[in-house]
Amino acid sequence: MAAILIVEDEGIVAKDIEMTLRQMNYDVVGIARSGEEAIERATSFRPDLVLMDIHLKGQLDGIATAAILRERMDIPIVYLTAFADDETVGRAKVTEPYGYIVKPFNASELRSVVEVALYKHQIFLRLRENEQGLATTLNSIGDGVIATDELGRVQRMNPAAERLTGWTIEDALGRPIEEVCQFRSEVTHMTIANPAVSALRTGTIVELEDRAMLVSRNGDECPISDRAAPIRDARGQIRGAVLVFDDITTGRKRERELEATKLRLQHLLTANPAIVYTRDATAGAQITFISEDVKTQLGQEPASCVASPEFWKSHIHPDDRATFFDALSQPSSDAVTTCEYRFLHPSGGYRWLHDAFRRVPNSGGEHDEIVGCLVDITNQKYTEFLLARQTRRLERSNKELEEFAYVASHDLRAPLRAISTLAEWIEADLGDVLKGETREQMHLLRGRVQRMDRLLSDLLEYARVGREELAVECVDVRELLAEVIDLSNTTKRFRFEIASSLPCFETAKVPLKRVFLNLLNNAVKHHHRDEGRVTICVDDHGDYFEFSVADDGPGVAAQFHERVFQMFQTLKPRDIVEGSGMGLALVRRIVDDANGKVWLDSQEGQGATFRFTWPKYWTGAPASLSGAFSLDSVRGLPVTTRGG
Amino acid sequence: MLTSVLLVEDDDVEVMSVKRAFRVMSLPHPLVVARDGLEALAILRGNGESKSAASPHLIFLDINMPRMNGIEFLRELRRDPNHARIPIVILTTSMADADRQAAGDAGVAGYIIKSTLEGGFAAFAAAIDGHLKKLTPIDAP
Repeated sequence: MAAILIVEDEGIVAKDIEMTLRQMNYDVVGIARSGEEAIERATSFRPDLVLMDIHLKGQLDGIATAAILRERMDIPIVYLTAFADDETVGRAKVTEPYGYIVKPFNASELRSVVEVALYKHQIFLRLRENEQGLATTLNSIGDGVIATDELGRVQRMNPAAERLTGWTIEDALGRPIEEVCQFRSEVTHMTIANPAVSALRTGTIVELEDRAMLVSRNGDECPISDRAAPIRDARGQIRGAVLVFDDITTGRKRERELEATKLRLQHLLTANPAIVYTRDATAGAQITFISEDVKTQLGQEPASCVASPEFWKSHIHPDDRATFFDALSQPSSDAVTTCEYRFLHPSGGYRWLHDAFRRVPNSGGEHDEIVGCLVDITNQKYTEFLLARQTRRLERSNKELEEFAYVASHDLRAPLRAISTLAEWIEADLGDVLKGETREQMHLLRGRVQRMDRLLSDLLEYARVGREELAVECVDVRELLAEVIDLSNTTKRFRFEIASSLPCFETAKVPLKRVFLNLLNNAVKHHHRDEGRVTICVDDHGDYFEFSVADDGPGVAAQFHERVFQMFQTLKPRDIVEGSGMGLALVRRIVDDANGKVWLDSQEGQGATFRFTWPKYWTGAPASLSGAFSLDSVRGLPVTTRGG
Repeated sequence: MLTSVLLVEDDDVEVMSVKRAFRVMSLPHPLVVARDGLEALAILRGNGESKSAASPHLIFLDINMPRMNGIEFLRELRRDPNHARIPIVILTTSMADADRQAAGDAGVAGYIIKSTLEGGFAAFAAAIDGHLKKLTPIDAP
């Protein structure tokens, strides 16, 4: 039952209305006789409807009172009036009354006006509720929404639209949509037609083109996605347009990064000598992608490779298929699996491939992928093959050399020794019977045998260079030279002058000592006088030392400087200067083996200076070539040298 | 009884060398010669032609010999309980590491290398003499 407040300063009229309304089953919550009283009662009783006399005594007339009631309490008003002049009606209209009742009135008139007023108010409330719900929704969504009228003038916009455009609804209201929402192409920087305008013109939904930027009121640009649709009324007439747009800065940035990554990957694929591929981690192991390089490197079309699972398998060398399938059956996602196999080239030959791949779980769902890369290692394989062959040959030649050395040391020297021994016995046994020329011949015989023995022994030593395991120790060159001078026992009177500063460094002592021994022996042996001077100096060159052994002997003519280092070369007959001609050859070989150089500075008649370089840091002989011969003596054994 | 010596050597001149050394150094010890390891084993075990030096007090042993070389003989002898303790002096031209190692492993009493001509026969004779004097007390004649 609706509650009604009557505002009427004429008591009788008021009572009459009250009675009529009660008869119609309305609840009359009171009768107010002035505007002030009406406001007071309405505030207390909250009526559903107010019947308001326009002419009231007091400060407030009916229209002013109605305006206050509407504003404060949103109560519908029906005016009661005895006369309705234009001016009054005009004023009353502004307060949006729900009806007029002209006095005098009858009951049925009153009834219909009240009922219509109540009904209309109910509709109004429902509409307003809808409207508010809609507004809340619009205000809450992240997309910018702008609605225009049929002429494209802005009617409403939500906060997101205000934020994106930089316009407030107050400023934008009624302005053309093209002014509030300006779009520009990211590519051409030209203004793009506003989709709302297009939607109004064509009556269809219009999408903004790709890569569009929204220009805000202060000139900022931001990438945007946008669409507009026409708004139609119940009869299908276009009444406006709605524009919906969204800031896609993040999406666009991601897109750009993705594109950059893609470009980078593509560049890597083409710049890389490896062929990159992906294949299904299923039994078929079908290749799903392979880089273009497969064409230039293996002569196969990428399209053929991805055409069928059989293609790849059928091109693998039959002997290598087991290896390939074995590797393929267990790809791990934790580690790279590798295998090597031969792959048929259209030219008919096989290329060796190194295939390295791993399993990558496919987040997309279907199945895991294998991602791998292929490197053509044919050249490497060929080099390996050559190296292996070379190594085999080297091993064989080393073995032969060992055998030769053994033959030289034992089989060739044993008969020599026997000859020498027998000659010695014959000489001893014949005693005085041996005379003159015969004795001289016997002496020559033994001399030649000894020379042959020395040749063999020097040759053996030469062959051993670089094949011994050399102990590296701290070598004091001064001490070493003292030992060497002691060893080069000379019957001649020689003075050895040694540089005041000599190094002490980690190196292999045995070869260095041999070099000095041979050079000192050489200087003494070939001296033309029985006394002389040998000077030993050293220069520090950073990574290596340069030693020099200078004598004041006869010197060597320039044309022989190379020859003196060759095997079995002597510059004087062996009967005059006894020697195998191996000493300097041995020196060169040892110095070579130590990664040094040896050379001779000399002029005939002005002495000779042998110089050699020796590394400061001993790198040692290759292990595979050493160890065949060791001069280490057997521990704890008395060793006696026996002559024949 | 005089200390007896077994010489295992295939080279005639080497045998002569040892015999001459004995003579030159006036060594009175009986010397039995075997031409290779097998013959030496036969003599030691008493199934050879001569049984007189079945238990020598010292063996001079060459390494390079036909049929059974010195190293093989040495190993065989060290396994034989009757003869395992006889002192042995290697008499060889071999400088090969493997031979020295093998000889060292078998525990030989000496190692005479006939590899150089320096020192002559006199040095060799002295070495033979030294080994005999050092290793075996000579009974008074």
